[in-house]
Amino acid sequence: MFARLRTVLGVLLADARAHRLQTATTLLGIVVGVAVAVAIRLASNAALDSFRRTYAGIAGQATHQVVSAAPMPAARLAELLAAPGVLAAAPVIETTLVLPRGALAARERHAALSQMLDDSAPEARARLQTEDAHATPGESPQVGTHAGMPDGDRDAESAPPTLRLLGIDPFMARPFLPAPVARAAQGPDPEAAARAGRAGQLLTRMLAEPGLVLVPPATLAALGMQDGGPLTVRGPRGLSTLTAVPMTTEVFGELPEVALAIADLATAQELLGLGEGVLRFDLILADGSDPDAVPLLPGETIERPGRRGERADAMTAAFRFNLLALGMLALLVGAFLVFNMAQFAVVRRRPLLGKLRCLGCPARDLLIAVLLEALVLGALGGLLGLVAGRLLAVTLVGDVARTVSTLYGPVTGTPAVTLDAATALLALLIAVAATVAATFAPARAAARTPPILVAGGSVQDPAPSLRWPLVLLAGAGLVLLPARTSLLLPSLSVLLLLLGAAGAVPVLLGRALRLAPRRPLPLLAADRLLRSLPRAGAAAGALAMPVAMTIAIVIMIGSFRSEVRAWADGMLRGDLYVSPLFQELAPYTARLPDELLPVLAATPGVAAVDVRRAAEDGDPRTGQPFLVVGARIAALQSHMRLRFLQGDEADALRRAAAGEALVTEPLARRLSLQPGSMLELHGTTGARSVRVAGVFQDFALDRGYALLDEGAFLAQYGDPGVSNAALSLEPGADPEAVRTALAAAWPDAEFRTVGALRQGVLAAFDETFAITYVLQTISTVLALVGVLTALLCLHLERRAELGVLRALGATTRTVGLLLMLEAGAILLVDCLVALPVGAALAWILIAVVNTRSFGWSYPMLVPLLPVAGVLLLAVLAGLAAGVVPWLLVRRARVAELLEDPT
Amino acid sequence: MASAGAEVVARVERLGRTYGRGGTAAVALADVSLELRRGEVVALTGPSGSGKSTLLHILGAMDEPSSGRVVVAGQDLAGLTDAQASAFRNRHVGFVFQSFHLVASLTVLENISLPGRLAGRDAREVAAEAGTLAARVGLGELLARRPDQLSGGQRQRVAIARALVNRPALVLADEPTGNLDHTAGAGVMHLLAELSRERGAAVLLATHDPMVTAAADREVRLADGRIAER
Repeated sequence: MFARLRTVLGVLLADARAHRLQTATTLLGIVVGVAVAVAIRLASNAALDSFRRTYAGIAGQATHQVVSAAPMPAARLAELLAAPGVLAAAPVIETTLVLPRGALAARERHAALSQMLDDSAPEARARLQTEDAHATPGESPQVGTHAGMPDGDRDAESAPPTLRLLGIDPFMARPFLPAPVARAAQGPDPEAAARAGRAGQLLTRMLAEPGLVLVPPATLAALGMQDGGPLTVRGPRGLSTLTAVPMTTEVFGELPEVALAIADLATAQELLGLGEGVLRFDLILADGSDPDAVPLLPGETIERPGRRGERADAMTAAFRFNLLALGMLALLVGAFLVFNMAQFAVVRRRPLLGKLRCLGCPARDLLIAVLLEALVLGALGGLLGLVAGRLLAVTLVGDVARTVSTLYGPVTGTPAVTLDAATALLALLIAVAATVAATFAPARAAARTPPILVAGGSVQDPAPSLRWPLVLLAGAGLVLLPARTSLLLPSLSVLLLLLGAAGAVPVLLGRALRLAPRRPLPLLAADRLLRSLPRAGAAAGALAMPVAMTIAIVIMIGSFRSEVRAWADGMLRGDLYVSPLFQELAPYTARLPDELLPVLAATPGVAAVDVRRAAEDGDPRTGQPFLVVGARIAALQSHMRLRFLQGDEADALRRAAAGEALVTEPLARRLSLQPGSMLELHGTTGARSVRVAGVFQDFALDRGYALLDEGAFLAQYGDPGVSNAALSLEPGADPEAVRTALAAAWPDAEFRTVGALRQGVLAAFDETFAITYVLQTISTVLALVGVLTALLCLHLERRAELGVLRALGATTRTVGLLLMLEAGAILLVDCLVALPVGAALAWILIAVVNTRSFGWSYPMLVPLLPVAGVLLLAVLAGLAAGVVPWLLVRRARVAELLEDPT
Repeated sequence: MASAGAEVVARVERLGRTYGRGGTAAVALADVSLELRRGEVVALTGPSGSGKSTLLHILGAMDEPSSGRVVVAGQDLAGLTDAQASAFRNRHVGFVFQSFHLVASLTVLENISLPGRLAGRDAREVAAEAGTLAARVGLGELLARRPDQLSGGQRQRVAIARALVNRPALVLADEPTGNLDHTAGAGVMHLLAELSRERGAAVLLATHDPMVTAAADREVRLADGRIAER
């Protein structure tokens, strides 16, 4: 049996070699599917992990951390040290600083710094310490990617680099330093003792010299200041000049990122204007001690260091899922392309398989051989797809990181793309499984082909059936019925819908062809297509799927954009909006300078100033964070109009002014809130439940926020400072003139007119979906290329028929018309199927997936022009599939067309 | 020519084949009995639709009779599984088709070797035998060529060599000269008869070609699914 299998495999291999184009197309389908899915996964993992690291910070040897919604007094340290089980405690301030462009020696330095953060391996550091010539001129200076509130417009190309600042108490922090350094102080090893001594000197110097920061040599090298020196940074309180001193690994050992500066606690407090406050306490608890035994003040929580990373994960879960879903859709396009190409390959080989049957090869051996070949092809395509996906991920990761920054906050360091074993294995498994699954049914049918059909010279392709497509389409509807929050079923529904639609295309094509006009050329075209319906239909099905998906995404994004525009137009009604300039460093907790507020109120032309405060809170059951915003509800309607989805507007506003909460739609969905239900808050003054007065539409934050009246907010969270303000101007005042005057006087705050803010909302929206368009375009274009090749293969196979026509006197023009009619028929059916299927997919994405993953709901609108553009693209691809074989026929001699190779 | 006492390699007894049922039933073969002896070349003639191809298909285990019995190389062909029928075709039957049915992607040598390799025979042994057969059919210099680099006559000679490589008891040929000109057809017919006799195979060839009929040892004429003349 094995010898026979080897022989059949040899024949199949020779056939694959002889039909390189078809084999390459099948392989391309697998590579494309795997590459796009892998690229999305790797790029999103890299960007999100980078975000997670930024968020999680540097934990060192700490076992727990005490954090709070507001800065904590440093004096809390003594109480914490006295708590049962606490072996060590240290106050910490961790934040992000901007390096203004003037702080950098040259644009090339940006590139070097960016490159350095890409790879913190020792050899990369060494490389960076060499000549400037190694840096790439003109490269984008993306040391850290960051952005502000989703309502901000920003240009990633001009985004300044960032530096993580860690403020510590050098003495209290000693137990948190890496173990070898701590031990070396008492150890007998003289070299280790010397290292510890040098580290101690550095830390002491840091304590003694205000404004001194320790910076890793690689960062300094990238900044063009190997030996340290003055370093200008911009923090929440404006520009400051620090003294940078090279830090060695003797102080902190190997650090997770190198764009870091370590300062004494007092320096960090001064930079952030925290007074005596700190942002967290790191603790080392004795083994087995209960963290709950540590006494906490209202608003404080104790958590493992990894918990911050988990919170970051929870915050980005919806986005992660969205990218995963996009990756799966891309994989689906690829898998379906593979499916069609594998089917096409088997159907094309039916005569060959029949010949082998005639020569005595059993059906079982043929089936095994074809499946083995599919397995090898799937594995090879999967491997190539992994390589291509890794390369694609490197080009995409910047876009994804920018989107993450836009949505959630700063991403420090350029995310490094690494291909992990789980992704590689998953991709390979999917590639092999899709190829083998696609091959199985047609291969079984082909292997069972009675040899008599070959002997009799009439190999018939099995007619396509509508039974399975209908079952799949019914399944697509059924799995949407359960009203759950799970996204698995809607994803399955999308899959079934696409498979069902693509499966129905050949049947519908067959029925449409029977309606061909009773004129010679249309009849001939219809006859030719009908005779090769399984093959032509499979190719048409493959084309219908990406077209339908593209239509769906165009409809979804068009509808979403339209609603966001309406929301921005309706909600933003003030004249000027003020926010902290470097709000992106802490998107939801950045504060306006205290001294600015009285100036705003006294500015000529300003009628009223309405301020907003914000505090982080979280759901204790799920650990999911949300924001609480405090504003004067009574004055709210003067500068913003909330669109209520649940609850009567007037009643909700009246109740909110009396202390109840208004919640955004995403928060309401996430915490199952509705008017009348209770929202649990955990402020600095203790936990409290507030009644929900209404649910309003909001697209700014996918994790959602609650809006409290100013009084209720201050009672719950104290005064964390003003995070932004809306100005109403006096009648006749020129908003632009007021804005310009204020911006000139206050460079550390950002002043925007309502028009700029609305534009910013749409710019942020477009930026958020830029990655979606990029990925969707890649998969669609490659799918179209695959389908074009499949149709070309189909035409090449039927050259002899065209030769007969030419022999009978048909001109090349007639043949061209015939080919165009065939392509036109396929396209017509494709577009007719893709339109409703695309609309149905869009409905699933809008009404089910989007609502469940982001909590946003909006009505579906069909943007006619973009949809027409998609159809036009499909038409062009299809016509190209008719033009190419026509050109080949035109160039060939008639006798050449008639030749049979066997 | 086979002697009258030569071993019978194929025996067909009261064979019937009907397609469809009831009012739409079509009788392809009825009460056909036939013996083929080792080394014998038999021409099966008759008008189109007389049942020639059906008889070839049943003898090649590619179709099953509705009635009667068929024994080839000592094996009763009734009730064979797919694997058994495949093995039977591979070992005991060689096919020559009007349309050649070579594998386009394989060379001449590989095409001729293919049944031997499917039988699990030693690759070198099969290649050697295929080379010998290729030389016998006049293609010894063209072993590395592919079918599309050969003329029609050359392709059919490859098909003959392929049919004989496993030393089958029976060679079934369906209009082997149908796609060839007279000279090429005569050459192919001559080779088929000569090589089959050399290798002790019986040949049953369906044909309309008088030249082929003339070159055969005897003629069996079918009309409306029945033997009209021997």
